[in-house]
Amino acid sequence: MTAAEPSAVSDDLIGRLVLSGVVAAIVGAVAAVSDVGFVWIAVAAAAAIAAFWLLDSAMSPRRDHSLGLAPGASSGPLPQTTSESLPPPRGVEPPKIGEPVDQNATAPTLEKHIATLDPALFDPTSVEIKTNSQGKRRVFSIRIAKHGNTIDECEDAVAVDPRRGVLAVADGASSSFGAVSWADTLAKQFVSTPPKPLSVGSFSEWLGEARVATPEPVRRESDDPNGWWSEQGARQGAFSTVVGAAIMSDGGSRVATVMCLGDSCAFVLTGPSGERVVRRSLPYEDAEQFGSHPSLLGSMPDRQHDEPTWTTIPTSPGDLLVLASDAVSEWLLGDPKRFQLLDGAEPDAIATRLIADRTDGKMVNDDLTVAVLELAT
Amino acid sequence: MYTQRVDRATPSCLIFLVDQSASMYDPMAGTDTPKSVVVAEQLNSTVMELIQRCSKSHTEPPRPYFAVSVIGYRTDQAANAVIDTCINVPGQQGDLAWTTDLAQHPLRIEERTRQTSDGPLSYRMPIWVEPLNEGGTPMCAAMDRAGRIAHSWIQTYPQSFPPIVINLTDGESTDGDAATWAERLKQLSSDDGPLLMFNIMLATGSVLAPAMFPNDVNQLGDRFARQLFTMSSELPEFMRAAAVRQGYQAEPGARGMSMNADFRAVVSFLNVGTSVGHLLR
Repeated sequence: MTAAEPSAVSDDLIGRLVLSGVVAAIVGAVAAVSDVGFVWIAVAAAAAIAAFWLLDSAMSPRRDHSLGLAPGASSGPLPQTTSESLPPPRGVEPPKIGEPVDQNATAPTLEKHIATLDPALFDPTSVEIKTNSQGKRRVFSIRIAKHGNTIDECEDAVAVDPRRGVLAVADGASSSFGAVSWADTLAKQFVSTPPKPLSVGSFSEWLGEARVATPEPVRRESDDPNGWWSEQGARQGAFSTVVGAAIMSDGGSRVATVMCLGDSCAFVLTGPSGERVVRRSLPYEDAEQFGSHPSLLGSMPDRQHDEPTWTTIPTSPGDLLVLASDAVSEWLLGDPKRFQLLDGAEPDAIATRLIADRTDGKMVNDDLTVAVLELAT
Repeated sequence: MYTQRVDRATPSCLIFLVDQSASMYDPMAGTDTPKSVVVAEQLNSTVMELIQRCSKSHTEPPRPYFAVSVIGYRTDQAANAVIDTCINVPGQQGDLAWTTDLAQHPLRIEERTRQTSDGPLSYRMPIWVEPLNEGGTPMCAAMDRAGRIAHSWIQTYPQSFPPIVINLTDGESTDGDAATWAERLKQLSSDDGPLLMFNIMLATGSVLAPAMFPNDVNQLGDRFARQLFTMSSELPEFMRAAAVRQGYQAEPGARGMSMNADFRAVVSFLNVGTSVGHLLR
C-alpha cells in the first residue's frame, strides 16, 4: 500500500465543466423568458460559475503522492457514498453487537498455532496463524509477510473477537512511517471499541482515539543528528486501510455490518459447509477494480480523513465472514473457485497455497492477510 | 510490464545524468538562479523523498529499496570528457549507493524553513549533490556510463523494475549523436520491461512554454526537440497517471521528455519520472 490517492483530475474537471454548462443553460433560459437585461444575468452567472470553481477548488484539496515536491501536498476529505442500506439513524440505539451468547459456554479465543508448513517453500518466521482451538466454528486468521520480510515487518494487521463476532483487517502503507503499529492499532481498536454506527460517537472521534493510542512516538526533533528521516517521517505519520465487520443481532435476525476504507475487502459466503458461495463482496466485486491508490487513514492528529462506507448485509446461520488485505482479496476475486479453499481447507493448507501462488506470480509480493469467522448456527 | 514491486528482494535502480557544462551556470528560465544550482537542489530533494519512502520507523535506518546513481558530465580544460559520480558515500559500490547509506551519509545537513498553512516550518535538508559547471557536454560518454551501470544492475536484479535513467541537460551533445546511445540504453531490459530513458531539456531565459510529455513527434517544432522525443521512453501507465495528477495533459503514448523546461517543469518531471512509490507495498 502506498499513501492514499484520490480519483483522477480528469473526472473532477468533467464534473465541473458539466456543472458550469448547466449554469450557463439556466442563464440562457432565464434571459429568454425575463425582461431583465441579458448582460446583467450573464454577469451574475459568470460570477456564480467563478465562485463555484473557486469554492470547489478550495473545498476539494487534492493529494498527490507521486514522490513529494508537489505544490500543496496536504490531504483532503473524499467522502465515499454507498448505495447500500444505511446505518441506524441518529439517536436510535444501535442493535446489539455480537452473536447470541450461551453464558455457560467457554469463551472462544484465537491462539497462536504452530504451523506445520513446508520449510522448503518459505521462511516459517514470515507466517503467523491463529486458530480457535476450543469452538467447533471455523474461526482463524492468517498473516504472511511479503517475501524477504519477517512477520515483525508485516504491515498487515488483524484482530478477531469470535465471542462478540467482531473482526478487522488493516493494511499499513509501506511507504509511510510507523505503518506496522498504526495498522495494528486500527485493527485492535475496531474490535475492542467499534466506531459509529456500531457504537455512539462519530467516526472522527473514533479515529482521534486511535491516533492517540498508536504507540509510534511522534518526535518533532530527533536526538540522532543523522536521523533526519525519522523527524520527517514522524511528521508525515503512517497510513493504513481498514476493513472491519461486526455481527449484529437485531431481534431475531443477524446481520453483518461492514465498514470499508481502502482496498482491504470483506466477503460473506453463504450456503452449506463446503459449498458456500459469495453472497456479498465489498467494497470491490471484481479483481479489475484494484488500483494503485486506495483511500487510507493517516495517523497524524488533526489530519483530514476519508470517510468509510458502511454496509449492512443480511446473514444466515453458518455463513462465513471473511476479511482480507488487498493482495488476497484480488486473488480471491480473480477466480471465485478460490473461495472454496477458505470454506474447506485447514489454515495451514490455506497459508501454503497462498505462498505457493504468490511464488508462482499469481499474486504480487505483498503482505497477505485473511481472517475467517463462521457465524453460529 | 512495469509492475514489479519494489522491496528487498527486487530493489529499484535510478540513474540521474547531470549536465555540468559551462552553460549550466546561466540562469534558469524565469529565475536568477543558475541551472546547475536548481538541478542540484531538486536532485537532493528527490533523493530525500526516495529515502523517506524507505523509512519505516525510529528503530531502523531507511531500507535499501533504491540504489541511486548521480553521474555528472562535463569536459576539463583540455576538452577531455569528465564523467564522474556526484555522490560519494561509505558503502557505495561503484556508482550506485543504497538509500540506507545515502540516508546516513549526506555531505551535510542544512537547516531550512518553509512556509506552510500552519506558519513557518523548520526542517533539515540533507545535501548530497553540489552544483558544478565547466566545459562541454559529453552526453554520449555519460550515457555509455549509465548503460554500464544499468547493465550490471540488471545482471544482479533481473526480476526488478527496470532501471530508470533521467538525463538533465541544457544543450546538445558535444561528443557525438546522443540518440544512438539512448537507443542502446533502451535496449537493456529486465524481466519487467525495457529500461526507461527520460530526458529533460532545461530552458535558459526562454519564454517558450515547456513541451511536457508529448505523444506526437509531429507536434514538436525543431529538430532537437524531435530528437529528444525519439531518445525518450514512453511513460508507463502509472507514470502517465502521475503526470496527469501534476496537471499535465499526458495523452496515451506520452514520452518521458520535457523541452524548454522551467523550474516547475523540472520539479514535476522528477516527480513523474521517479513516481514508483506505489510499487513499494
